[in-house]
Amino acid sequence: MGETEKIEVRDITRIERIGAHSHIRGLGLDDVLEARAVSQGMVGQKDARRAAGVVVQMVREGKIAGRCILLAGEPSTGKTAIAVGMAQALGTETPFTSMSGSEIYSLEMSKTEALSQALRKSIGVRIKEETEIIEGEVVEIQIERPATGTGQKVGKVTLKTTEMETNYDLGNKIIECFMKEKIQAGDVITIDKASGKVNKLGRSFTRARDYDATGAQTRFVQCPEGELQKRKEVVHTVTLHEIDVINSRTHGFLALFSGDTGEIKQEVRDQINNKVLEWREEGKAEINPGVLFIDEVHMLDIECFSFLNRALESDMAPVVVMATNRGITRIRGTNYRSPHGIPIDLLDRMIIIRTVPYSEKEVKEILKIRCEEEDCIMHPDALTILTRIATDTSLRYAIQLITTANLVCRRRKATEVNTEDVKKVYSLFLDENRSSKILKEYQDDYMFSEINEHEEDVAAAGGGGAKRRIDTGDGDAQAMEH
Amino acid sequence: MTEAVRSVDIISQTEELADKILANKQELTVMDKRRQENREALRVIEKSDEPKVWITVGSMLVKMKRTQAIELIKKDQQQIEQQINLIYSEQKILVNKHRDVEFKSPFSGTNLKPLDRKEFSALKANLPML
Repeated sequence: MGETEKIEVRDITRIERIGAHSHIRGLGLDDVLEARAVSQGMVGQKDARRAAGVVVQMVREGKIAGRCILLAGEPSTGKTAIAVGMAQALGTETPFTSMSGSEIYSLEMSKTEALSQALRKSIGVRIKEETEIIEGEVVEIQIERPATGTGQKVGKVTLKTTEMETNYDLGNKIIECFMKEKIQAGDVITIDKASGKVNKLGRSFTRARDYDATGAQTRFVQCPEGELQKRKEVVHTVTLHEIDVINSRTHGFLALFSGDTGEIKQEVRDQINNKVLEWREEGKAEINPGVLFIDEVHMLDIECFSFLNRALESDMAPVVVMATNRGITRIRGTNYRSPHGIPIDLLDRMIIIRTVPYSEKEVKEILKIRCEEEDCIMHPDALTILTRIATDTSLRYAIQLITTANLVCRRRKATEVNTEDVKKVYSLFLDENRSSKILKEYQDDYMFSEINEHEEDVAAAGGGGAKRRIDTGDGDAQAMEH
Repeated sequence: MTEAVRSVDIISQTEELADKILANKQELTVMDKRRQENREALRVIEKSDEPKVWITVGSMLVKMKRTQAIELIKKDQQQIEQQINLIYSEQKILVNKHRDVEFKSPFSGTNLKPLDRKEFSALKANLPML
């Protein structure tokens, strides 16, 4: 067996808007959970990706409910990207809820309610629905109406599949269903045996030529195969939050869309928990804990952290993945400083994954992938310049320049972005460094410039609540922001 | 050498299982045919009034008393139902085994018991996406 090139196929039928992380299709790991250098949209960051792969494996096996994982690293090191990769790697079966730390602050509900809802949105319950249905193509229908006009109708219908044919005697009620659905010979129908509901799937292809013109809504389907009476089993996954919502209001499901669920009482939640556990005992349901991703977790305050401490100890808790780029910073709601802005007792329960800044080669690869994603053809020299810009300023700034350079290049009626275009947009759009330098020089001309009071405030400040300092322009050189 | 042997091994296993699955599918169709024929026969007998009726047992036509005939057909129906249930559960195991041999993860929820109709319709009424 020789070396085969792995061709990654993208699903081109889905049209998506291009976002900052839309190029990520997965974690890019191979079968032994080793990270490939460039794969599935992810570049470099091998250790963090391997760790994330291990976490994904454990979530799949259902073994780490209620654990906490922290992705910590400098800005622009791929923390959110890894979380997106994890979501893709877990697939559609496992519930993955993504939120930002500041989202819990809302006027409509308290912080703990918002957190509870987010936690319960990440726990899935698998249930199964089983029905016996009769599916076949109608060969002929005979309905006899009593001459007097009152009294029961009787009827007979002959149904067939590709392999068998049989007839049924119909009672009054089901004849009414048939007439309501306007079922004729040649229609493919399903009859639910338990409820007696009749559903028309469409018309059979073999009868497509019966008429020259059919209605606009006519669908043509194939004649069913196999047996007439089948057992249909469908497995659904609902989240605990959805069950909560439908039980707390009469028109529950509309609230799911508008987000206006209000506060859900703890008694309701307890009842739901009991019911789901009962189902689990009877073997009717499986609890499928998913992943809750909280980005910018340093925005949570001390009350939320205490709440999380407790909530994670329940046996139906999801895996919580957090991401932050803060260093030793003040915990919101207190005056104490702590690593990442998270209290030490919660940090103790976490596994921490470190992300490191990208090397120049990796930055070049990332820019190449983004160029592909944004449909921009770039000359290699332009790419080199862009990589230089990215390493000097920041990765995000360089990514912004891709689409803008593309537009500039299209304006001069060319297809390939070259160095001139990149230089043009570089001069048009400032990055953070240059912008702060300009601010410092011309601070007197700007409104409400407070940089003169900076010295007095540093002396007086105790940490929190100080006047806002304008960033002194070395944000990128620092290891982590304060 | 071992790789080729291994691949032949895997392929033969998958083909074997796939064969069994397809054979079961055919079996189900045959069973259902018998079931429907029994049902039709039962209807006709119950509607008619004659004391003795003709029924086919295997490939023989036999004339027997009405009550006896009904008994016979009902027993046959029961047996068929049991057989069909057996085949369904066998199918689930076989399909999961097949997926296992192909290194795919098994279908989730196969060992779940179904929810009651009332419970499920209550859920469905409130969650139309279900």
